[in-house]
Amino acid sequence: MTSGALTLLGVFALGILVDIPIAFSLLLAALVYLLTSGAVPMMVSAQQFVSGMESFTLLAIPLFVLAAQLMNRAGLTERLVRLCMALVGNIRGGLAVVAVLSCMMFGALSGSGVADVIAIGSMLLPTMARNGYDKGFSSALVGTASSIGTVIPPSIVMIVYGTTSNTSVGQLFMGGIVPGLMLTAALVGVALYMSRKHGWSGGVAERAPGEVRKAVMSALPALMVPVMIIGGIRFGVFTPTEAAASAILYAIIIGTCVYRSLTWRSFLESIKATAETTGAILLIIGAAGMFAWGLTYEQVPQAIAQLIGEFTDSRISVLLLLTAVLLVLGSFMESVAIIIIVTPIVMPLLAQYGISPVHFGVLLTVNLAIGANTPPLGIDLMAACRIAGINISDSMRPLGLMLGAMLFVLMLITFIPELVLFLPDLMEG
Amino acid sequence: MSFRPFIKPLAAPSIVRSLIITLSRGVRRGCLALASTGVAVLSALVIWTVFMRWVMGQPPHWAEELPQLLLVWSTLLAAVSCTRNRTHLSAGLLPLMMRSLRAQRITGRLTDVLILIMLLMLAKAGMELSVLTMRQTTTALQIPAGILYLAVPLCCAAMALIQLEHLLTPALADSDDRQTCQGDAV
Repeated sequence: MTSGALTLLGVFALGILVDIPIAFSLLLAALVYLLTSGAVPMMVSAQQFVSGMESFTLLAIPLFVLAAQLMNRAGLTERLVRLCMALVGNIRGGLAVVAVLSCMMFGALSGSGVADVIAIGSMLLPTMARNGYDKGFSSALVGTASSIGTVIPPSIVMIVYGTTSNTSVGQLFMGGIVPGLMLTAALVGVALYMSRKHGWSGGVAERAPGEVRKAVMSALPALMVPVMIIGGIRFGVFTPTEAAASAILYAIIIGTCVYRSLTWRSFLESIKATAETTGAILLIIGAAGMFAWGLTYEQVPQAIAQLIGEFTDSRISVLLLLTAVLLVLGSFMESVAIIIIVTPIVMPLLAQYGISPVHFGVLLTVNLAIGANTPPLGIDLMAACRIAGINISDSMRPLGLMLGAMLFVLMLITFIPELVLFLPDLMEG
Repeated sequence: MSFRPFIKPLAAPSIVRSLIITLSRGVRRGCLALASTGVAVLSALVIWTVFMRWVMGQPPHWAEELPQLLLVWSTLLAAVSCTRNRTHLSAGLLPLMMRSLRAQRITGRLTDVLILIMLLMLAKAGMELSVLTMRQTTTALQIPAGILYLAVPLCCAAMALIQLEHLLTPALADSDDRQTCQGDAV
């Protein structure tokens, strides 16, 4: 590896270790590299910085964040939880199943793991505690189930990967559906097993007549959102960015005309929160544009591809190696930053080993969903534990089983790529 | 409970200090208001583009360029607010590696200085690029290309001002502001 590459990676790693924000660590590394190498004028740094953010696909990020904010404030989340309660709240362990299903459904609205934890966890974690559920179990369950939000479309993580790797976001969205449902099923299985073992209840003693119908009708507008987004992209009506814009319009109409719960004040708060989230995420993407430019200039991706090529010529070995690296990185770093740094490095590898970028993109997303729950910095788990008011260590025992179930799904989709590629291929066909 | 910082604030005359603090707070509020407006407008523009494409059969000529321009400006303006609130995403590894609070604070001050220098360098590079591209025009809107790049020097300068405020008011930075926000939306 060249001294330029070592400077880039070294300064970045140091920045991360001393808690310089990720975006600033990337910028600092790229600037130090430009200063020391003298490869191009400093002006290039500003140009690469802006180029990293200037993409029509990336517009989908603030739009999906705003749509989720508006839907949450319009009361769609409560209706989804109420629907799940009506469906499975009366069975043993039903409340745990409600948590998983609600997180999955809200994930289909928000595209974000932490947003799921906050929205669903704030509602369900206190209820689960009141019904005798162990707080460690509930937090681990809400944390892991919320991570499904990054796999089920729409997914902000997939938009970032699609933009960075030049892969169709529509195909990635389609590819995430089956693994997302498999993860949901796996967590529901764990939730039922644990609840029955400990005798935890469903939360609803008896289902009132007509309750399910009423709950379905009430949640129908919320349930239509993923149908509109996925269907619109699948049938070529929308690009992901346009689908996100349509979701905003839909949320405003439903929130003001149907539910009548969206006020001018909550609308302004949603916009403000979206702006701040956009600033935090897209600044990393812009900074990573500079950083990735430096890596490419120093031919780091090619060097790593060559190194791995000498080590193995098996496609599965490469995927397992990347999985191991991503799981470790996911425990220490934030998803967007991992994608931005890893993607340019692995793209030559994918081409060399004939791995589909859509398959890898979905594997990456599932890896990051697992990483978002593994200590020391599992962000979804941390958020859930914070809401439940417990230490992360309290959730470690039940967490092992849930992570095991997620890893099992990850292995299945690694060894059987058709599970991921079936729907995108259908979309192409 | 009173807070007694281990590291003394940088020696600056109190009038200069209070001026920087007032200015920094005003800049943060202004930037967040502009960024929020930008997000609202770009959302409306994309909705309008979808309407024009599907109902009128003709998307506007600025369909991609204008929302992208707003996205870059909104991102950088919002980043100013994130800098003030210290809500930029970070790994949060320092407390795991360094037990001593004093050592953490010294490291925090040093990194604040580093970030300040970096932002000033980026502001200078952005200004040069913006001036250089002011005579070029964009494809769809036919406006000077430098307007897009102008966001870099202006917002980096604003972030630098806020970093300066962090250095002058360590108590504020350590008590309520120094938080790591890891993936609020992701």
